[in-house]
Amino acid sequence: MDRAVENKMRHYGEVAKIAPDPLLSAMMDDCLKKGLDMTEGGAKYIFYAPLVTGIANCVDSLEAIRKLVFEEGQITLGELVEATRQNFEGREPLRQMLMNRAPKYGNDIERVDALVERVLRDIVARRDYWQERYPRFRFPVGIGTFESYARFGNRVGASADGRLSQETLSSNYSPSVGMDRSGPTAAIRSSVFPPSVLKYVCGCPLDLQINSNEAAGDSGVERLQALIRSFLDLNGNILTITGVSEELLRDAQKHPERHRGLRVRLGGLSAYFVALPPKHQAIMIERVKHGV
Amino acid sequence: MSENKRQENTAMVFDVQRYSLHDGPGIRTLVFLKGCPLRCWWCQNPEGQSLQQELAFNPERCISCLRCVATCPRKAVSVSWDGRPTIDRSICAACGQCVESCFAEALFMYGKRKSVGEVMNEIICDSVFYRNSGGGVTIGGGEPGLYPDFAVEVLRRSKDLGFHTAVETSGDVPWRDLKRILNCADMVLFDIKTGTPGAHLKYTGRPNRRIQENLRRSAEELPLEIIARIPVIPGVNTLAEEMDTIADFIASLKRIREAHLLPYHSVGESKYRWLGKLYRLSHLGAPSREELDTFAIILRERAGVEVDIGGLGRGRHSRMMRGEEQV
Repeated sequence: MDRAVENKMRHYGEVAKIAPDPLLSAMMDDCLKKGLDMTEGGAKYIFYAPLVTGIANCVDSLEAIRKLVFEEGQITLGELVEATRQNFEGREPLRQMLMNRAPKYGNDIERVDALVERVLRDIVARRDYWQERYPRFRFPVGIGTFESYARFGNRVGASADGRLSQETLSSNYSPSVGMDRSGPTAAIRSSVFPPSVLKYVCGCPLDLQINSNEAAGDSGVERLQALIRSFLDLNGNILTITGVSEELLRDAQKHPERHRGLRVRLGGLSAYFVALPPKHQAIMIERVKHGV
Repeated sequence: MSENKRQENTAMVFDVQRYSLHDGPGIRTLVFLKGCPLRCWWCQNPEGQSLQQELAFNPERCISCLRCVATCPRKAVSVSWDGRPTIDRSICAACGQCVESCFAEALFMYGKRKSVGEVMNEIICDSVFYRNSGGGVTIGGGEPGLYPDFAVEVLRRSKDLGFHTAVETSGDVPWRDLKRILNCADMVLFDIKTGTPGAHLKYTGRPNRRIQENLRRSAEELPLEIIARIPVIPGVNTLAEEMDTIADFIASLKRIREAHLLPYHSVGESKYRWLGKLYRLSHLGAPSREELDTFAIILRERAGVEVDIGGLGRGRHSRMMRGEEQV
């Protein structure tokens, strides 16, 4: 984070030379008055928003280390570091232990979710440090990967949560891939935190996949409303909901390359649809078709 | 300590599923209790049939580390031709030591003894979702009627917290147990598998006299909402005689206004293999749209009920919710 902020501050204003933003600047307070583009500091408020990526993988890794290394002594830290360096080559049982024997973010488990808060508070402390040094700027912290989670993951080696080298990171503020095994209500409860954690927040979207069938009809819509209302009642920030349908799943069977990111819920867990065995895909389609 | 434990109100629970949408109104938590008097051929929860804990093995998750083979104290686990473990269930005592050794969770146990308090702690997590959706708790299984004390206490405590309460039942338990449970619930989802006694005995292993009697008494003596739930199994209860008998029986009860048709599916088939059990309907496909529609029409015309296919409650419940909102 320090490096990102430092770089940004050092090169602030350079953007104006290559990519000024006159249209947006025209709509910002003070840009016209000062005669300066927003990328040159013309606007009344100047933002630089550091975004946290891979938070779920980070927290899951910290929890795995806390539980399996420090609490249970199943493995030493040195061994674990070496195993991740080797991308778990020849250490599949260890990798499975990391994945299945330590609780994961997104399942409404207090001790894991508290780690999210802990990590965020540390980040906010650094933010406050930079805020003091650059009072002209505002640094609202957020949690976000946009669509780049696979690309970010491609640059990250194996991690202590059992994730292999180059595998995708979790999207935005969502649980790690396939690790949200307790359903959307648990994922929502895991993701909410008191406003004091991030005082100036620029967004923490939680991504949910929902079977379109579940949202069909009057009562389906009412249920979805209730889910969203509850998210807000619990202090949620941003919720994105994706519905999947039979047609979509059929298309994904025919053209898996177009639907790599498509997730479906399967017996209480989310799975990448294109990675399922064909028989499971067929069952999934049947289930969506019949709403069961 | 141990005596306290024995006195605690517990049940063998095989799942607590949050965000359940098919088993009553709104967003619900479904508590599955283990053990069932019936052995329906189409059962999609075979892990809910036995009252005991059961060992399961899912070969697709196995990484062939074979730690289980070394761990088993009875030598019930050995290496099979494909390099994966195989369990000799005639020797296995379901002690669970291999499960402990299996990091991949290919070996796992169905069923865990839980106290009312433990289950309530899980239920309470989603209070805000129940409140916003008019949802709550459903106790199913298996057959909750096999755990009357446990079911009654969970339902009563849930009700005290203002949650909607529902019970799913096969109906094949003593009336005094069923009555106690249903007296603590707002709604019962009562299964009707077949119409004729012969088909019932053949396909579920139990006669249907007590079940029909219990449903009749529920309708006559108890105030709660009753929904008839009918699994639609092609070739079993989609024959004209079956559909007519079921519809006429529902009509004779007079106060049932809603029926759910649950189309047969084979999603649970792999669980039979994991448990080392035989699945007898592996050749069977889902019912056709026509079969479902015919069944629905017969129920509507002969029994005068509203019919919901799939059990998501698109009909009546949503109108109730709207009614509540106007109040």
